[in-house]
Amino acid sequence: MNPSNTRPAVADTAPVIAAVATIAEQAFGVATAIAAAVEQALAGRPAPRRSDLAAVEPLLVPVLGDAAQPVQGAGFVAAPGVLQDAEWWLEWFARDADGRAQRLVTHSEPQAIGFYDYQHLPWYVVPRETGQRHVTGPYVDYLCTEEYTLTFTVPVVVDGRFCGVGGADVAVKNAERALLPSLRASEHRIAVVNGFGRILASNSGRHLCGDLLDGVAFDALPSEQRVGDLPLAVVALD
Amino acid sequence: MTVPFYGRASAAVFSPLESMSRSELVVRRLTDAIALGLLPDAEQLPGELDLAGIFGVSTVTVREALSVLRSEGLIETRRGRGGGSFVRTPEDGISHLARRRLDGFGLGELRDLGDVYAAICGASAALAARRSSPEDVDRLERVADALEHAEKPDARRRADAQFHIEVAAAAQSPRLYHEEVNLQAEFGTLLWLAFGDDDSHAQMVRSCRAVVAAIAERDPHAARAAAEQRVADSTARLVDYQLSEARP
Repeated sequence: MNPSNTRPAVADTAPVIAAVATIAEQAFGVATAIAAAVEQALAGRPAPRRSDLAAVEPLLVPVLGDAAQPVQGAGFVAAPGVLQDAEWWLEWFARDADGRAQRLVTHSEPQAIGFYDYQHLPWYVVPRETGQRHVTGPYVDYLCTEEYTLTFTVPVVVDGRFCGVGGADVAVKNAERALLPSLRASEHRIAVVNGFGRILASNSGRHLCGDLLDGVAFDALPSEQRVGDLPLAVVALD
Repeated sequence: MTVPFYGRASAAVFSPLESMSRSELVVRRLTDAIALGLLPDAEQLPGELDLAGIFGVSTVTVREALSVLRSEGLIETRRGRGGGSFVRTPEDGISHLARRRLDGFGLGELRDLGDVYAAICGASAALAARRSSPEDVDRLERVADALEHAEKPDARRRADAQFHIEVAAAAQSPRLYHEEVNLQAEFGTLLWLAFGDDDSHAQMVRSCRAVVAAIAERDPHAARAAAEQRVADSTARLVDYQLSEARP
């Protein structure tokens, strides 16, 4: 089997691609709103502090409180050195069991054992390097949720300087729930994969979320199999 | 109530949910966090009400646990404005805490703990070899570099912990990741009693490189074998360490 050689039927893929795009639009909507709020808050401020990020929380409270949308955590991650009173900082909020926004407490002190350098993590690196939005995952998000997660990030740029990323997390479980109706309706075995050929969701028990699908040449996939400009696509499994 | 006989496994099903009391569990959780350095010296603990909420226990249980930690000298409680409970790392450092825990283990128990850790690390490495993207392999290599270049025992321990976590994450399994974190708290703290010097560090770096190489080659069998060997070597070193310590 070589998935990249088989073209899935458009009747099968179009509804799945639409469902993926809906999730992405919702998540990027949140990430973009955060980025805009942070850009506005930091503009013209040569020495911003954590307290200048106060606009982020009220923006997220209604989103995280709405169980009908898929984003379960979101916020701003500062580029190291941008904030005067914290070298490393995540202004990040996650939905708790009662649907309330709770501030994420992480170790921002590089000497602490729980500290992780996010400068090398793809959800941070790709927007910084490309200036473009990015979808990371599915991956085990050991920094924040400790769950299997998709993270949608956009760069935050103030006066031409990269200041961090605005981001939103969607649990793979929730993305899967949103994708299953269209995957089930498909007459053929298909899978949603990321740019590495890693499966996000499929309608086959032999190709599960997290597995790498051999033979996916992502860049060679035709546009009707791709989810816009995002590193996500639908491929045939049989 | 009649308990139908399903064989010996039913004994485990119908045993108490946890063999320790709730306050003992809280004591152990906080002691492990202090021993791991997750709660550094002078760090203020959340208030009693918050702790009760976090652990899902009553404030009475929290108070019991805090009083045990206080009597062991691991926290200090100050009254009044700016008061609360603060972590006090023992003067001879966190290794003292780990040594105290190690005393409670028999050699066979250490072997058993090592077996479980090897199973988790082996399974993680084998899955990571099947599921790692080039990006994951880059990250593993970077952590291996960080481990090699770490000079102080503390930094070595941090890099080693991060390496194990990256392997579990590359396996794409949140559950293996959680097992890894729990075992690091339970067993990793003990292992580090016998590690940190240059000789053991060189061995750590070699075994870590072997795991990364097998994952990069996408060879699950070699990755599992290398990860299991790594834990087996560490366990052997810890058992030797305990044997060499003179104890009454």
